[in-house]
Amino acid sequence: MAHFRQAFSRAGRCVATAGAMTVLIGLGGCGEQSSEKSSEGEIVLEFWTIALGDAFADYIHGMIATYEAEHPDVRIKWVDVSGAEVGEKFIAALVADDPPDVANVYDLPRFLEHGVISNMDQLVPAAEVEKRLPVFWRGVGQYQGANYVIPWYASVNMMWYNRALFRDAGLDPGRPPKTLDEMFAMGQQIRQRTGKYGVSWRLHPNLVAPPWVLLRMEGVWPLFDESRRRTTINSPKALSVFEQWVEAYRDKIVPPESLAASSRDEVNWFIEGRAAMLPFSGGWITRYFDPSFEKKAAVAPQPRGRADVVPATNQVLVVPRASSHPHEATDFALFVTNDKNQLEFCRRVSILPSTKAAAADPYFRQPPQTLADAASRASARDLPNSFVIAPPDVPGWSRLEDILHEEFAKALAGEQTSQQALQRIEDKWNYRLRFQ
Amino acid sequence: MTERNAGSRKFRWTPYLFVAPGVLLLGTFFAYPLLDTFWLSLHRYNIFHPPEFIGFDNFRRAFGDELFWRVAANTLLYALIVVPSLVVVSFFLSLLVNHPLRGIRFFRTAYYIPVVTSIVIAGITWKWLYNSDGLINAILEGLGISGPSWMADTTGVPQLLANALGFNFESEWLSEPALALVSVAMVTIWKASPYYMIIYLAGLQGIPPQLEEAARVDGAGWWQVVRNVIIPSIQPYTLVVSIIATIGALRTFGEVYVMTGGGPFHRTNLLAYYIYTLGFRYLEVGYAAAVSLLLLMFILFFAILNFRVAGQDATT
Repeated sequence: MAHFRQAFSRAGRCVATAGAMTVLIGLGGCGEQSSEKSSEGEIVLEFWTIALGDAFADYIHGMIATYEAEHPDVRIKWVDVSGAEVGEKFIAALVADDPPDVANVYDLPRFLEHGVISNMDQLVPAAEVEKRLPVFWRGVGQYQGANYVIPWYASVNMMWYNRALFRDAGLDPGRPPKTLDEMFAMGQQIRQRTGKYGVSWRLHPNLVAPPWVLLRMEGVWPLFDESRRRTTINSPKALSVFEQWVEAYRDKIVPPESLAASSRDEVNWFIEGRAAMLPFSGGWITRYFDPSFEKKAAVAPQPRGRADVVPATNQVLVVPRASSHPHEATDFALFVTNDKNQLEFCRRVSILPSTKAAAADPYFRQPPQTLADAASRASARDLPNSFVIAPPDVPGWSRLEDILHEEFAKALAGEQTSQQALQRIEDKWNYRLRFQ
Repeated sequence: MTERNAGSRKFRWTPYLFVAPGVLLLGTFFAYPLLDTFWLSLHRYNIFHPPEFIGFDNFRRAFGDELFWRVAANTLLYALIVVPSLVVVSFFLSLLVNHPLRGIRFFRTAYYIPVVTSIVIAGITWKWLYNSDGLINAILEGLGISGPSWMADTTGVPQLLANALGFNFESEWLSEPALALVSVAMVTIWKASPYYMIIYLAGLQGIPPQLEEAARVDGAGWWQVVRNVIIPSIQPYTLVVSIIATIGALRTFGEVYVMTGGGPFHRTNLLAYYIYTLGFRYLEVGYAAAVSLLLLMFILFFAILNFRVAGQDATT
């Protein structure tokens, strides 16, 4: 980052790059003011969250007030960013060399790959690391042996289902599927008896069940050999996973639009009653249920694949390497994610904590009062069996993932066989890994 | 006379002051980004590391990039669907609202609503209509027709038409454009045509009524009046519409972003969305800049083509 600073004037580079990219496609923007030090020696830390502004403003403000009272020399400037634009905003802020000090971001591989995020194995004291659940500490921020994030709130995937559609299909609403095989069999029955789709799923962008997570649930993991220069994806096990999904697509157990969908479509399809089952994460989606739908909806543990593991999502905080106050920023991030603050957050919304003490709190064993509570309990029960949805830490993963999507989609649409798809993925991945 | 000459030799600031804001705006938001895009296109640059000069390698890479050509072909096909449709649809819409009927202002306003509707809302609404179990297919089912998966079907529209007419053969030649691409194009046409309708309406209202009356006195029917009086009279407007529509179609982004994400397997991926993917997802800013400039070349080429084809008479 140091030579980067030398090479570019800050504001000029921001205007140049953002302007250059926006001249034709009308996108972009520059970051806002970041860490600064006031004349009285007060440190100002900029803290980014994703879409917490309306519903959780009092929680965030309360947390900030407590921290500022304990640290009179630090002032926190909170910025809430929408989920759709956080990646672009973060990039723009980094380009302008004016990044936030602590940020909740996702789609991390592109940032990890280019070394713009601080190494938390170096910044966080061992005692604090010990308080965090290892599944999350060595989770989404793991890149080539080091951890670059501080885990915040989490959710273990679960199965949402529509009891009314189960009944209409002659299925017992009290007996949701326990395995993925059962899920497809029930999906088939739902499709045949009701004309609705069995499973709500979309190919891309998919934050909770992208194709490589489907493979991992069935034990096709890791996808690369130790040198990270060759893939091991082309295997009989992967073939059987592909074929199962191809069959499900052909039989219209999943909606045809799953190949050309956009953000949150699969949640909408479930809420609209188009599909009966939604493998997803987070009790937060109950916010979008109207009362009549809430009566129909139920939640159960995520059906298992052959590996008997459940995907989990984890929101994380990062400290950009360009932050002027990395130690203070890390301290604040540890405060935000401490046991007390995470537990309080979990009481307000159906999420899970990423610290050991908070996760062991009796709150997560209390009988659920609402559907969101039930989701939270289901999620908490599966925590020990979970793996964090962290992409393989190979360079250029975004490109490799798009190749996987393209070839898998062609197999789903019947334009090639599953074996051809796997062969092409293997060839293209190995080619790219050899030359990048 | 002598006094005037002496005055004219004196430097006059006023014209420059009037021009300055425009020059400043264009310079800041057009010339500088354009030059910087060119500079970026000559570098390997991933935002986080210093740019590395690589000459014209990014352009060479684009010419050898199979996906670039596929996306460029999609974009051209998209423009070929959208531009003529917009010219025809907006022209006939303007004829419709040009009648001095009671309440015509209400209709003009109502027709304009798609233009001011956010593309996100429009895209989501159209997705509902296009769903395989959506309203369009429900209507088709009522007519005894089994509707396709509008957004996900990659069968070529010519192939579908051939099959519908009873020709049961398949050909590569009939495989483009894919139904999914046409479905996205329909949204652009729906959303943009009222805008061009207003341009045409301005043109129609500038035609002297005597021309039309004289044609009618000579025995011309409705279509003859349209063909021989109205269309030639509004040719400059057709030129404007076709140029703006071409530029708009070639840089379509929102529809793809909201509706399909470029899927299924890039069949609805267009250049502007590809540039976005290159820049923001892959962080290949240098390459994204090169593809942006190639898109600019496409736009310039088609704008000039429009001038040559549609503008010959219009500009005389």
